[in-house]
Amino acid sequence: MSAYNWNWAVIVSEPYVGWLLDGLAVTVMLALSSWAIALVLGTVIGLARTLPSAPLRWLATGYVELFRNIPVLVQMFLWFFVLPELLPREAGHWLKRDLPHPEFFSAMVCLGLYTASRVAEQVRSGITSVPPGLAAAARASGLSLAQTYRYVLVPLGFRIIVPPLTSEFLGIFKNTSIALTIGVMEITASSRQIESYTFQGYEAFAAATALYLLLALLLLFLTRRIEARTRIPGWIARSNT
Amino acid sequence: MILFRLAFAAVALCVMAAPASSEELYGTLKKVHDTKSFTIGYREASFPFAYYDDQKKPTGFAVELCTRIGEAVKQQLNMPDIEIRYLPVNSQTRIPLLTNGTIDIECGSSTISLGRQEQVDFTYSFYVTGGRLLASKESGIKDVEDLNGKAVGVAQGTSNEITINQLIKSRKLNLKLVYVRDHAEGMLALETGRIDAYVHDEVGEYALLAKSTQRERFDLVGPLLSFDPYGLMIRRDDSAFKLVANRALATIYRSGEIYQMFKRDFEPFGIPMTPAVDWTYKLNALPE
Repeated sequence: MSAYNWNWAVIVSEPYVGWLLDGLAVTVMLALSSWAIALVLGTVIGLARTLPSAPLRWLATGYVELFRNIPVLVQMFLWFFVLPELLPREAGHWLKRDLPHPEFFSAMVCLGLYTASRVAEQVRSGITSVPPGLAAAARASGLSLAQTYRYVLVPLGFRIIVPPLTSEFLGIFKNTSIALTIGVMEITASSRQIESYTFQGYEAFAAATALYLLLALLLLFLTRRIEARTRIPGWIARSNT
Repeated sequence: MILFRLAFAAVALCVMAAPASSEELYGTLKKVHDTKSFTIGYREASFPFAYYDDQKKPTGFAVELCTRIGEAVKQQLNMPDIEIRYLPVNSQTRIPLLTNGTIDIECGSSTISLGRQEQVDFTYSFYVTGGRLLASKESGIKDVEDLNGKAVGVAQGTSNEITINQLIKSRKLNLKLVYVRDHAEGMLALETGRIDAYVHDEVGEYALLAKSTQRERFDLVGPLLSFDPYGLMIRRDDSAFKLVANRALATIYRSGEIYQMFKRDFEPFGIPMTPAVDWTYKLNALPE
């Protein structure tokens, strides 16, 4: 039945190969910049969820539940279309018109804040998985709360959560594709553009699939090395109560 | 005796009405014959060609033409029990779903282009339009030259995207191109002042304006930027089915029924009948 005319040359010919590579660059930049936001903010919020201060804990919990429970697609729309309308007129105008590449920065903030809520959950679980006796011993031997976090909880807790964090890191690369809905020309958007120019949709999407797969395998290779280097020998296996 | 003659006439009619089944069926007609179903792929937001009515049922100018083609296929095969199905498609899925046989015809607002005909075929055209600028009045845009330094929106994956990129090259325009996902978001970007002008087919812009609550802020400006004859997308190398489809269209054009449909579907949105559209119907009203 199929009357499709295959033409694999499309994806390696100019200008289409250039579009795909540009899309790859945008995907990588978007993923890395939003990961930076996610890691810093997620750490702060995750730590806040383990603090003795109740208001700080509630605030952090509120953040996590808010950002984790709204679909990213909706958040993307809210950041891009709704936020500039809520701000004062000049600020909104700046966001919409004077900021270069508003769609990129909206997507960066959106993905960063969303992933931060997920990172925060990993950080919290890492900190709480450190046996409470260790923290109690640290406090008893005269360390302040800040010192207990600095020298005991954070070094141990963070090394435990490296594997789930690297999987969040891989996830942010795939989530960048949602940014195409607000006009970011990343890999998926580039392949759609190639489809609309050449009508060779299968080839264009196959190329996008291959790029995502290559990217993921490369990242997997890198993150496995990080995981191996940060692993605490014998820590997970030892029963601790 | 009368009964006998009636029966004879009925048999004779059946024999005469079923010439297709005596020929070797191929392509879409064979598929419809074997599966007893005819699937129409429709666009969900190509106003007023294909969209949802209040009951969430696909409707519109092109959907009605496709349904009529489905009826013609039933008649041609002499199989009144063929089921006409509807499946939503978008600009990314329409060609793959058509070529792999999921849908048998696509109805929406697809431009008949030579490039597309390397992958698919089209029926006779049922509407002719072109890209045009929809600009906000405060931007002062009156023509293509005024676009310099302005922000211009276009939907990804449309023929309008190709039009504006060619225009930027040929007229050496220095503008900021903003990509949006679909025409509803394009209108939203225009209304919120994110862009000064939006490029879309003129007929679609009339429909966007009709639905906008701030329509007095915007104007259609400048000439048509492209020539976009719309057709119903079908598979290539399928002359027998194409003839059934075109015959159904020509019959509607010839009888003048198309003008009533036009009045009903277009006039409420203030979309005028242009000479090009009129001639499309006249030229394709081929005789039997």
